[in-house]
Amino acid sequence: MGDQLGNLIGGFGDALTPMNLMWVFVGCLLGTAVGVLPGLGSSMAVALLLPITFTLDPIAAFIMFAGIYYGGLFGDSTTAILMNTPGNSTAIASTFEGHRMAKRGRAPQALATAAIGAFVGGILATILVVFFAPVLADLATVFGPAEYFALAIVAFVATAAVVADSAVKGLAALAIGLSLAMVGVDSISGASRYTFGVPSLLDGIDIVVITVGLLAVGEVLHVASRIHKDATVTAMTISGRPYLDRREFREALPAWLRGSAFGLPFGAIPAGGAEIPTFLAFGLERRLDRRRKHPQFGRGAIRGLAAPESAANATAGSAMGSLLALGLPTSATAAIMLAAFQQYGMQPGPLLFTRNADLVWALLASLFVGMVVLLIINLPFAPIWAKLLLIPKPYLYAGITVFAVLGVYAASSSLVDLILLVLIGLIGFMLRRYGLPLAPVLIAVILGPLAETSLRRTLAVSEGDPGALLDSALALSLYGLLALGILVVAVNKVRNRAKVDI
Amino acid sequence: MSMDDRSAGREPASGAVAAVPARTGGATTPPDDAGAAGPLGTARWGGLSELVVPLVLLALAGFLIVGTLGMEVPPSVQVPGPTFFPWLVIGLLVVMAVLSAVSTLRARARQQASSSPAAGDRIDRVDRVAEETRDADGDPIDETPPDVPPGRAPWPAGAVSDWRALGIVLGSLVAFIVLLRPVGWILAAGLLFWGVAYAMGSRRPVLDISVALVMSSAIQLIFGNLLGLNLPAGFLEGVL
Repeated sequence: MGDQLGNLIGGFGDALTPMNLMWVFVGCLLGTAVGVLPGLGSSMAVALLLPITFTLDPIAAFIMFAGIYYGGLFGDSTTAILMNTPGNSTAIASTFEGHRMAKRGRAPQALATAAIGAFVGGILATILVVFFAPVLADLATVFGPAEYFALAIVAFVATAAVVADSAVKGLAALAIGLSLAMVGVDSISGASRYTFGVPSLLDGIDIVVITVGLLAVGEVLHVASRIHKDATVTAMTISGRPYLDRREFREALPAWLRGSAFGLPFGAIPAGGAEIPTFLAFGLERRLDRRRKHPQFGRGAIRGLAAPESAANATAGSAMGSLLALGLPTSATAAIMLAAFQQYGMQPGPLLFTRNADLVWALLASLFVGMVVLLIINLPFAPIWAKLLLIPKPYLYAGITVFAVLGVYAASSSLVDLILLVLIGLIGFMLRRYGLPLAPVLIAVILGPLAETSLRRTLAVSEGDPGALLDSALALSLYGLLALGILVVAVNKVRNRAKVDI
Repeated sequence: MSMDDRSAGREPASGAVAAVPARTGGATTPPDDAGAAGPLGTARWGGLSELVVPLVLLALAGFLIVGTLGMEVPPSVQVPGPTFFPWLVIGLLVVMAVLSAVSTLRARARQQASSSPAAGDRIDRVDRVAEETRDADGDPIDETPPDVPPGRAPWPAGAVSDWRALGIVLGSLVAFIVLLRPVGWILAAGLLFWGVAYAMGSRRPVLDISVALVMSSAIQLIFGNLLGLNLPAGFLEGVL
């Protein structure tokens, strides 16, 4: 414990330099902005910035990325409350009671509840990460190829089959991601795969091209195909600054804590982000509310907003922990941050804590700083952030397109990459058009090489005996957890289907 | 002046996007989906366009099969060689292609077969909504979380893509790739910006092109000159 505190204080020393404070601030501003704008998210923002930040030193880049990740979760509730349109899927659960509060003239309180809730969830998760991530990293040092393969399989199946609404769609998205990851020189045998004589494909398809294509170009194409068809939404105006009085604060406090408790475990497992814990937290608050003397739900219940908000940010916090300690990305944004680590030649996981201890602790310290900055720029100024919605959509998306090609061309100066960008953008459009999830593609691209090499190493050592994959208690328990998850989801689906039939 | 009025005033005068706030809380204007293809077009396709997904999966599998069969495997590699994992992925692609084709066709068959039971379905749902309590504003309280988050939801059955807007965006991207080296970043990126803005419904060429050129020049100055990113100057090389 003392170790961690000492390291953390050292980290604060690095994080509080004027330059790094500026990067925290820049990240928080950008993150809040993309969070507020519906359709844009922290994953797209980090993907677009990835190529441009190569000239920065890694600590500055990661501090900024972390600010964006958390900022996106602070900003997304603003439009949920004021427009009944979540800025991101993580704020869907916040729209129900949040918008109802706003309609009854309590928008300032709703915005304050959301901002403080995000702060509470994020801080609690980050404190836990500081103390448990090093322990988790120690545990992970005993991982061999069989365990890493099990970890990758759990991540694949959990994001693709368990979390996605349709297992077929999720696994199809996963297969697309695995295919993209295989292009290039095979790291074990040195055979060049699927390059068809194009030299710039020997290093594989650049991760920047894949993420920017899927998240930015795909989104622009999707919006273009719908821009004249979809309903337009308008925000309501609010008067007064966000605030909570003592009574409201006491009312919301237990919900913030319960919401964080839902978010924490979900960030650590690859369950595709923060949507599920926000809904679980919302559901629990509703059930608890029904037992009260004067149920509040349906009339703008402060707890119905507080719980999902803190759950979302708690998920982001423990996702950072599992990214740093295990190298396991549990959300789309975490997957892109893992790619960023690889671009800087670092491998998140047990070794990161010993080899790049400076960076890890500066990053963890900057999470605390970032949370305070986010509270300051969100709590009093939420109404100002809502004004971002006045940016004309054509210019917004035109700007995103220009930044997408800028990033890809700047990273490689290669026209082939630009062509691939457009093709992958078309795949991203198809995924959105037919409701296939994006997260499995990203996770497959990032973890695909790890899955392949660990599978082949295991089989090479065992001389082709697949039993070696199960020959470890750790791997077996990971598969057991996965089987349990599949069982729970299957039972739920059958039960829901029965309900629909009645 | 309320924010509604201002955002409505800022909307490009495209006609299709008419922001008429019905009411000051999360007001939505009805989507205009009857547009390009019309009822005939949607009836003809009737959900079959979703077969694009299995086709793309099969195309990807075919591409991998060709590449795997033609792969030059270096001699004396350890036993699960470089073609081992690709075959697993090819298998997954083909199985998912078949399953998604089957589920698309079955969904379509169900839709066509049950046009009359579907009406009964809808009545049930209306009853259920009526039973539910309404909040103080008379809006139904429906807290069952949606199955799929917005953005990931499959499109409504009759949804039409705006192929023209989509085509203009794609065309702008292709034009950018072709023009980048010959005419340089400022003009190529400016054209890309204008093309996307035009596709999204902005119809003020003078303003749009000015914004586009200011933006691409600013990027050239900030990223090209200050951060040292390599952006081609094109034939403006000597001028800049």
